[in-house]
Amino acid sequence: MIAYLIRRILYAIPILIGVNLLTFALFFVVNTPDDMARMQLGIKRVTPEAIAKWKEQHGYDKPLLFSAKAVGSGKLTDTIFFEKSASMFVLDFGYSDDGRNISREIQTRMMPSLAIALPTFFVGLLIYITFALLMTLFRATALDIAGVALCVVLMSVSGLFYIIGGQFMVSKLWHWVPISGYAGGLDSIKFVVLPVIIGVAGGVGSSSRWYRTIFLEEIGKDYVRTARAKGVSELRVLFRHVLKNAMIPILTGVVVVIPLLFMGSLLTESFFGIPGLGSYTIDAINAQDFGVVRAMVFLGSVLYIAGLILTDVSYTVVDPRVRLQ
Amino acid sequence: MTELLKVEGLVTRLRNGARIVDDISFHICQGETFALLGESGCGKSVTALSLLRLLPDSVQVESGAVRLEGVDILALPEREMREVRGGKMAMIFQEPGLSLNPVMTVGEQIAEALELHQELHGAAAHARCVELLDQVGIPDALRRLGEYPFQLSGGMKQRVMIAMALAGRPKLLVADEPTTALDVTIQAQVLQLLRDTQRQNGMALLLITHDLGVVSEMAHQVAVMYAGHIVEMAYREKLFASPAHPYTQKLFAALPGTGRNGQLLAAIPGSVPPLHDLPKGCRFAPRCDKAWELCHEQAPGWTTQEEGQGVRCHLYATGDAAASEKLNVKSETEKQSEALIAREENISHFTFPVPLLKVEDLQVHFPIRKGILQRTAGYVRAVDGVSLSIPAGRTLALVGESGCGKTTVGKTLLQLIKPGAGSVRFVGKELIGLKAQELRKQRAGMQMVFQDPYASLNPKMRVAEILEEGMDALGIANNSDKRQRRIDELLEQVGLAQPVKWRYPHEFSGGQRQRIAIARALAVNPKLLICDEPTSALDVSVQAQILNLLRTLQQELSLSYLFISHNLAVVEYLAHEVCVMYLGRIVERGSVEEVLHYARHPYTRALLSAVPRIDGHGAEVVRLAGDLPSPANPPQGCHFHPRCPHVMPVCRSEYPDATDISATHHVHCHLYM
Amino acid sequence: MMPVILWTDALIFLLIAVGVVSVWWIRRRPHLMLPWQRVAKSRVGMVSLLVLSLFIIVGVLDTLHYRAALPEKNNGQTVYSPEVLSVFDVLAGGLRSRTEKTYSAPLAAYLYAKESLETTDGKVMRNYPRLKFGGAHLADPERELVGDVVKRGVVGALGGLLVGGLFAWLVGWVRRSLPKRDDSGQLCPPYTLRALLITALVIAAFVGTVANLASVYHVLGTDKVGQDVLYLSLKSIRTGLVIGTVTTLVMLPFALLLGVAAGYFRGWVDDVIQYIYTVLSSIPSVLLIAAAVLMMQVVIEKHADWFETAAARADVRLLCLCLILGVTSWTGLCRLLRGETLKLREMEYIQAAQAFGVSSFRVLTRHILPNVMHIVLISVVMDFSALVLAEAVLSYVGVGVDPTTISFGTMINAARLEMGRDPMVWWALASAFGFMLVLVLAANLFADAVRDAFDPRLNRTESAT
Repeated sequence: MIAYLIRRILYAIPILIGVNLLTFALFFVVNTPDDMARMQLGIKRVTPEAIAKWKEQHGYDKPLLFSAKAVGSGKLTDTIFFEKSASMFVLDFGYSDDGRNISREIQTRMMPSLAIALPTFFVGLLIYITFALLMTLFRATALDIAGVALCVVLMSVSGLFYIIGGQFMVSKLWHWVPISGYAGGLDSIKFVVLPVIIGVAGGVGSSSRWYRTIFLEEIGKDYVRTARAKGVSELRVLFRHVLKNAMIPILTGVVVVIPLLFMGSLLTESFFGIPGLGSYTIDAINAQDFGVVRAMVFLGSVLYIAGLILTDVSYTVVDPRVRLQ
Repeated sequence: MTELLKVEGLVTRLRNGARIVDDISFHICQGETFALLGESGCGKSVTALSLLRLLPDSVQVESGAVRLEGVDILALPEREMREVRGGKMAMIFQEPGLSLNPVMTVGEQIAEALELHQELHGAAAHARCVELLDQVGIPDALRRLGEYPFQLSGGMKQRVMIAMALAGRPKLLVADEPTTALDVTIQAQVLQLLRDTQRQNGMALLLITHDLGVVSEMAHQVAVMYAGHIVEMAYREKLFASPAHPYTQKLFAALPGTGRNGQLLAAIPGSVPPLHDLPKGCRFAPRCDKAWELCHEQAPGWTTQEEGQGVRCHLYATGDAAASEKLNVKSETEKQSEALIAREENISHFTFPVPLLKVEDLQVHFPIRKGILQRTAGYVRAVDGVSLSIPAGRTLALVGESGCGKTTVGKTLLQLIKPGAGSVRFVGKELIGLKAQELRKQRAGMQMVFQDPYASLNPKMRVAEILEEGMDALGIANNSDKRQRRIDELLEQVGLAQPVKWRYPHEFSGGQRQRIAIARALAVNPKLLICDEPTSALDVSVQAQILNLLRTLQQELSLSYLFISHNLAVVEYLAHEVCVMYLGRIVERGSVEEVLHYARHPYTRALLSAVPRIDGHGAEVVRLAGDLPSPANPPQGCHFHPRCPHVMPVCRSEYPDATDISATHHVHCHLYM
Repeated sequence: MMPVILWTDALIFLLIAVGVVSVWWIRRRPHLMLPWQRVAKSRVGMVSLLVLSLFIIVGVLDTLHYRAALPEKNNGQTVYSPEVLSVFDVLAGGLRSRTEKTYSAPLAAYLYAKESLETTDGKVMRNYPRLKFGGAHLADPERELVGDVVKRGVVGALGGLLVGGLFAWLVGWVRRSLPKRDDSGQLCPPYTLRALLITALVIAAFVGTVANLASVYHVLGTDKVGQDVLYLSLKSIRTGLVIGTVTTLVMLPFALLLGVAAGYFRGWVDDVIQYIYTVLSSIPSVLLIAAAVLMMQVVIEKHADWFETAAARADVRLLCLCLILGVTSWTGLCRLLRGETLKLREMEYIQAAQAFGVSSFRVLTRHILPNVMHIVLISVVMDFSALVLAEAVLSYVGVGVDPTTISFGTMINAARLEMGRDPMVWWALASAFGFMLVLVLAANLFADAVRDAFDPRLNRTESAT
């Protein structure tokens, strides 16, 4: 198990280097440091000296990938790519274009993101699985067909609609909770309720239907027939036998997102004005702030890989057959 | 004896109409074993599931009554039916590997049944679980209770299934092909266990099987099913002594076995009719060589004869002149056999000095990787020093249980798997280490027929394209005219009509597919065919067709076969020489006569005695304990010693060398050193 | 008139060609027809296909682009208008040209906002002005509007029914009069045909109503600059379809080639391909898309001279969006195909081929590819709706299509800002969501029918009997 984890973590390093190379290439192939400087400085103050100064200040005065002038390992390390990437592996993301420390920004924005994402995730999972179990229990009846039809309709509705419509209905018509904004501490609850409800509602269709498919597949298996031949009731078959086995495929899709919850949700956060990482990302995209985007990409990849490893570990919990080697 | 279960006029059908089980009636007495015998698709499993009302959603019971101790259980509400399931009536299934819940421990699964039917909880349930596991012969029961199914071998899992079924103290145990997925030695253990528990508990057993051998060992009464009907029912002795229905007669005749060595098997032509397109009259009529007009027009009724034998056939309907005349017709195969024997005699005295294929010390080891850097920590010795040679025109059989490495040998000879060491010389030319170009030239000489006819033909290619592929790759019959003629010729050789070549594999039955697979191999004019269990996925009647075909082809084309099989009866029918494999090594070799009739190695003997025979029981009964060990970690010394009844101290430390019993008969055993 | 073939047009034509060829190919192969016959048996599947095909017709009409010739000539050479129009624009000419001043509600005769109006006697009043086109034929809208709408609606519905019925009768007549072929028989069973007929008639009536009303009203109102919302919604269809189909078209070769190669060759090929798709899938897709789109924007801005017309520029941006979406979304399919190929390569028919010494290329093309095509097909139809929905989200985030391209996303984005108005401007938003819902729902239902017909795991019971 330990050996397996170490191997997986070691394998993450080339992946992260790849991720960095890719983002790096995306930005610099079309956008040279000179262009960046020009954009940041504004049209008027562009002089060769100013550009050079800006590049030096922001660490863009080195070669991109390979430094022919340097000696030894410096050929690779004395470059923009190395300077900008290496520090990220110790989670030091540097400064954004407006001069703020990105790491600190991420720390403070993490909480609001989690305050939305965690409840959405867990409440959602509970509701989806319950709904799917109900449909499975009443399979091939009118109830099941209606449930599936509802799921298909719900998953055909744009996610934007849930947000816009939900926000409008609840806040405008009934004045229950504020439309947007955020506050720390206990106050956060009233800001969180609406985004969570909308987030959960947005996933009902696809998730429940997917879980139902998994349950139905399990319920057709031989061990279920054995359980029935023992005289086990249908409800007990579902909860004691099917649910536990179905957790294996369900976990594959679910556990991998848990670490990514830190990243927040782009849409929800920007609609509801929540100062989390999702809205931070969107702002960075709109402001074309390379430092922040690259930091978020790196963070996202790290979390994704962590999610993959976590998925493997979670198998050992639910599936006795899995021993990681 | 009191009547325990009575089934009357049971009809079970698909929701969209087709009847799978059509008007079946039988009864089972207390303590009796009733066997339901039939080929795949005849409706025997659906009958069993109907009794417990465990049918899948797409199938339902239409009419009939199933009385268990006088109560019609088809009319019971679901709540009461749950009491019956696992309580009065328990069931075990064909695939023990799939039938246990993989994420629950063995103990939990047995305890569940105890809780439901015996109201046992906690410590009492635990104690009873241990007792049950002991009863079904699982050693170290206490530890096994906490284990998961994947930690048990196939035989063990089936024992656990039986323990679970016994937990509710059922009056009737329904066993649906309980040993089909198991190796013969394990099958013998499980059948013994079923007999023992039946004797102890006095329960009745409904045994569903396709295997006449199993029936002959187990059953008191037998019902033969065909296409949804019971066509014959009798006591075992009566049925085996004088089968009445032409189908039953053919089933016996189709079985390869002793005393029929020179003759062709009596294959039943054609295949079972599909459910949605059943013949109007007798359902067997299209395949029956005794059928006349009446059979094709009118379905026969049930005729009862002496000693409780009943049959559904016009031959036995009273007062029909045509019937008695037909009873004595000599069948077509008997005539063909005579011709074949005549031809075989002409060549059987030939001597073959140079072997076509000579394999020496072949090794295939698969690495096991471990640790952070995935270093090789050990090897699975799938094939560990196998040597054999096949003369031209002869058949060598490679016999062994699953996991012994026999299939790996076959694939390695074809260079589909790279061997670790050893030499494969084909017509004097070394194949190992050949360059791809060179190897391609040799490929035409050796071809393979695979086990699963459903996986061995690409579903997206026409028959003609399938047959053409090899010729194309190896540059045989290069112009298209020649090639088409060759395809027609091949199809004729394997007994298929020519228009078949424009069709796709899904339109064919298992037997027909296997014919196509044989034709594909023959297309490149090979000298040696490697047949990997070519009939194990087929029904007995179809198996006979394929075996006959293989035999005829050997005659006509003087082919050599490497015949890989676990079925000793089939081997006896087809092979000239036999090698017995155990855990990657050959333990005994010799002519078919020597190995199968004068076996020396304890494993060979156990294998032979484990095979259920239809002609009464085998001479000596050798029951093997335990399972096949893992080839990743074979036992020290002789691989067989942990299971061997004659084990000596030397067996635990040294692997025995070959001992020559005769010029052709060799055995690896310390008993003969 | 000068026909214009934009990049996405070319790809759509390619797609249509591929579609036609595969239909011809499949019709001649009964085993390939089999699953499609199962699709044809599904009532829901066929009805949703009918609805989908309506969308597709609109989309294809909107793909045939041209530039109109201007009346004046330059040195004897014809000068073409810089505006690129499509055949659809011509057919919906009225909808396109009848623009109002600003917002107006569906089927309204008055503008949404009050204006200072000069009455005949010279006084200035603030009131809702009449629309230039919507309900312009009415003398007194307050009194006549409802009656006129109902009347026109009913007439339109009847007209639609009549045309639809005639068409159905014609189809039936042609079918009956064709010589009966005995091989394949009827594709659709009668109950499916009945459902299709009913749907077709309902659609005909509906289209008739809308068409009749649209000639004098703005059926779905107008937007901020007075454009007809119905027109915008219909124009958005093409964008949605392009995103949904062209994306898969560009991604398929990658996914197919790499997935199958990784599964078949294993070893270092597998390692490299797995590395590539793990890297790609570990980047949060929105970020990757955003980064790529931003970069693309920079390039396009730097090289404005590459494009002759605004339409061409918007089109290239749309195409780039498809490419980017394709690159970020191929990993899922690639992984699926790799897994399937790993299973297939152990199949006995592949080993039989290897025993003949058949080359890897031939094994891949003749044995593996045909046997993974069902996975490709299922994932293509399943992805379609997800992509249509994704477009709206991306356009909202600001990394979607060009702001000048009419799409559901840009419609929603523009309309969202007006939610705060009182009374609410709801129609643009509702139309965009409504059209999208129908399109995606139909696509989802059709995808389900296809999956049910093609997925071998779901057909277990059928094959067992």
